[in-house]
Order: sequence, then C-alpha cells, then structure tokens
Amino acid sequence: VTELLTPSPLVGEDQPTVFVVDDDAAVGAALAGAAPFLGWPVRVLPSAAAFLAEYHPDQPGCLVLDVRMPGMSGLELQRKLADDGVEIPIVMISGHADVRIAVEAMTLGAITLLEKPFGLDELLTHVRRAVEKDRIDRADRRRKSEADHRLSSLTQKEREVLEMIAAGKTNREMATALGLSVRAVEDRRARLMRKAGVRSVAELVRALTAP
Amino acid sequence: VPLRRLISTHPIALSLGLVAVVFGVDLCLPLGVASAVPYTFAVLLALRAKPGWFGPAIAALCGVLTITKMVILPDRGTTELWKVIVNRGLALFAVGMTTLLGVLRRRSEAERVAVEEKLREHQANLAHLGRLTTLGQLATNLAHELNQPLTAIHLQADVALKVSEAEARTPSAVRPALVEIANQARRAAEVVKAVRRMAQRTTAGHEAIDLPDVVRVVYRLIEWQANRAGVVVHTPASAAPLPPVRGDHVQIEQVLFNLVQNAIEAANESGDRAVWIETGADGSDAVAIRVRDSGPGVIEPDRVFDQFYTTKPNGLGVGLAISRSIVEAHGGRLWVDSPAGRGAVFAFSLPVYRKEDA
Repeated sequence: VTELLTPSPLVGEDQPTVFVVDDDAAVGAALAGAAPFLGWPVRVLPSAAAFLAEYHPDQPGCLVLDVRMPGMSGLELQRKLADDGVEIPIVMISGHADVRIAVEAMTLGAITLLEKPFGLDELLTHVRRAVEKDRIDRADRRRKSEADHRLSSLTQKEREVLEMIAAGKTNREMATALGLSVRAVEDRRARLMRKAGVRSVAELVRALTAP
Repeated sequence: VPLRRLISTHPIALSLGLVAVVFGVDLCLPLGVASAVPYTFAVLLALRAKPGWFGPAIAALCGVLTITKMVILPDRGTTELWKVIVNRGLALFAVGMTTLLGVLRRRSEAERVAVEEKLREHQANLAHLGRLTTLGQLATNLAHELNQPLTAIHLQADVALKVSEAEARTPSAVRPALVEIANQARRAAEVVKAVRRMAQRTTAGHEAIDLPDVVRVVYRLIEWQANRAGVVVHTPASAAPLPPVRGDHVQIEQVLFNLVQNAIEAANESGDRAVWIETGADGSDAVAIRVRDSGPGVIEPDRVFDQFYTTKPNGLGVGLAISRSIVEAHGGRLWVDSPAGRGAVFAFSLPVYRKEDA
C-alpha cells in the first residue's frame, strides 16, 4: 500500500510541485497529507516570504494559498506574483470567505477560493485542476515562444508574404501586389512555411495568433 | 464652614428668616435710612433654593414689604419726601437686579449641567457599545482561530479514511469512526460560522462619518488620560475639508481611541512625551487617520496585529486585532509603520462615503 501511496520518485523538470503557503502548522501538515493521493510532491511553507525565497517561475505546479497570514497576506502575495508576471495557478483557501475577498482573489486570477474547512476530495479536485491548467498554460507559452522565435528569423520579404497570407490573399493577388511572378511567390511561401516549422496555412495562422 | 453648610442645606428657612429680620429692623428705623437694601441678601439666599420659582417669589415679597413699611409707618423724621422715594426706589432696584442676575446664572448653570450629563451619557454609551463590539469581534476572531484546527482535523480524518480504504487489514470499526470525525469537524465549523455571521451582522454600520469629528470626540474622551500621563496629544489644525467616510461612528471612535491610548502609553516611555493625530486623503476614494508617537517604536511589526500578542504587562493582546477586524469589516485597512529609531505610526484608512451606499 505504501508503495502505491508514495509519490513517484521521478522528479524532473516537468514534475509538478504543489506549493502550500499557510501560517498554521497544523493546517499545513494536513495539506501535506494530500501528497500521496496527488502523486506530486507537496511543499509546505509558513509564509509568503518563504515562498518567494524558494519558488522559481520555471517550476511547474500550483499554489495553495491562505488568505489571512501575518506579514504579507495571501492577497498581497497574489498581487505581487501578478505584478512580477508569474503565472502560477492559485487555489485560495480562507477561513472567512467573504464576498470582497473572493472578488478580489478572482480578479487577480485565482482559479478557486476554498472555504475552510474543506474535505480531501474538494482539495484534490481543485489542486488537480490547477496543475492541469498550469500544464496547458506552460505548453501554450512554450508553443508561442517557439513560434515567436521562428517567425523572428524571417526576412523582410518573407514577412510581407506572411502578412498577405494572414490577410487571406491568393498567390496571384500577391504576385500582382509585389510585382513578382506567381512562381516566385510560391517559392517564397514554401520557404517561410519551412522556416516557421508549419505544414499548413491553418497552423501558420495559429502560430501567429497563439496567446 | 458650618455656616456655608447651613446655607446650602436650608436656603429657604434662612432666606425667610432674613426677610423677617430685615423687615423688623426696617420697621424700627425712620424712613430716611436705607434699611431695605439688605433684602438683597435674602434674595441671594432664596436663589439657592431648589425650586426655581422661590427666588423670584422672595424678591416679590421683599418688594411688597419695602412698600408696606412706607405705608404703615410713614414717619420720615426730617427727611424730604423725594429722598425717601429715591431711597426706597434704590432698594427695589437692588432687589430686582439681584434677582435678574441670579436667575440668569441659575439658567446657565443648568445648561452646563445638562451638557455635562449628555457628555457623560455619550461616554457611557461608547463604553457599552465598545464592549459589545469587542465581544462581537472577539467572537469573529475566535471563529477564525477555531476554524484552523477544524480544517486540519477534517483533512486528517479524510486522509486516514482514504488510507484505511486501501488497507485490507483495517478493523471494520475504524472507517465509520473516521467518517464521524470528519462530519463532526464540519458540524463544529458550521456552528462557528453561524456565530461569526451573527457577530458580523450586529456590528455593521453605514452612516456617513466626518473623521475630524471622530478625532474631536476621541480627543475629548482621552484628554484626561493624556494629562495624567503628562503626554501632549496634538490634533490636526483645521485644514482642507475631508470627504466623509462610510461606517459606524462608535466603532471607528473605538479604533481611534485604542490607537491613541496605545500611543500615549508608548509616548510615556520616551523623553518627548508627544502623540500626533493626523488626517488626510488616502488616494482618491479613501481617507486616512495616522497616529504617531514619540515612543520607542514597534519591535515586531509583523506580529502586532496577532490575536493575544501583547508587550504590556496587563495587556490582553486583543486591541489591535479587534481594531484591524473592525477596519477591515468597513472595507478599509489598518497598518503600522515603525521607522528605525523613531516612534511608531499606526494608521487606518476608510472608503469615502458615497450617496449610493446609503
């Protein structure tokens, strides 16, 4: 049984970690108890400052964050992360979830606000959802940055053609507009598709407009 | 001293006696003597009597007696008639003026007493409502404190339950017991939540409050404490007008009272012995009050708002925690600044009152 419950020892770049920030040690310990059911390591930290000192934005995972803490509060930490451009999904936990806190947390991008006390199943559901969101967000960001990188290697002339493709122009229209033969436009088009690493116009447009 | 006591306990008898004596002496003397003037003393005594009408009544009696003497014993010796009339007229004038001034004095005295009474009543109200608010906030904070262990209990029971499900050798009685632990934790949390909701409802307030007004009220209430401690409290000079804030004025007064009281205690440990209260805008939609002291500053700024944290020998450690709860319940914030080597600055800001809030 213990084998079943212990998290897989495979800790690599892509292994998500669930960060828990709560000043109450008993609550922290209880939250750490959820680790075996998640299959991911759970790291419990007693304060916002401790989290900021330890967390690196490249680390995938999610953050389970208490709203009310001495020193920097949960909402303040959330605001700081948003200001710094750190996009870790946050599950807020609060003993007194009033409307004001909930609204503020949501505007700042928290994905849920769990009211204490909550059961293990509730916690697991929300944490899994947050980690999944983080995985998708990271994949999107990676795709976007790869596309950006590739598109930045295009020449000025290829970029012109790219913009016309995105605008829905046919090869013939492009040839007229650029004063080239249709053949030359087709060549340039093939070259830029190769450079951008896409196989169809649809993929190209997706790379251009990726979030 | 015995005479003074007699005057304050028996003004009616004394004034009536004096009237009789003066009338007797007046009857025995010829009309040329100004023997009716001592009636004024009888009037002064009569004005000290409890019923307000007694003074003017004695004054009227004295006037009548002054004239009576003239009528029943008209012997004026060698004095001319006009001198007698002037003489009696002056006596009447003296009695009349004494009565007028005495009545006016009584009236202003009564007003002063009424104002003092009102002030005392307000203080008693503030203290009472303050206690109620404190209880409400204590319940709120207690609810929060209890919620933490209940959360831990609930989660741990769930974890134990999940583990026991995977473990074939778990005795059969364990599972229902674990389910029951989680259920009871949830039930206790519901009770705690209900208490908190009730406490919050009783302590809501949505009036428009003028913060400079709050400063004045609190200053009046705390002046004697400052004087006793030998600390000077500087209040803001009338500067630019501030917009009103939204809330319950008794609660806001309580917060400021608490901060100023702490500041006075801190300033008492310093050489300068001074506290400054300042008001000002905090952004475009909030107004702030700052309380600065010349004391040694705050040792652990992160912890001062914690429940039961105190540095005072007789402190409970709930004042600042409650103040913060009150301010937060008003949609505002309360914070501390303690620049190294200087006194502490406690400040809170509250959202500006808007017509739509009402």
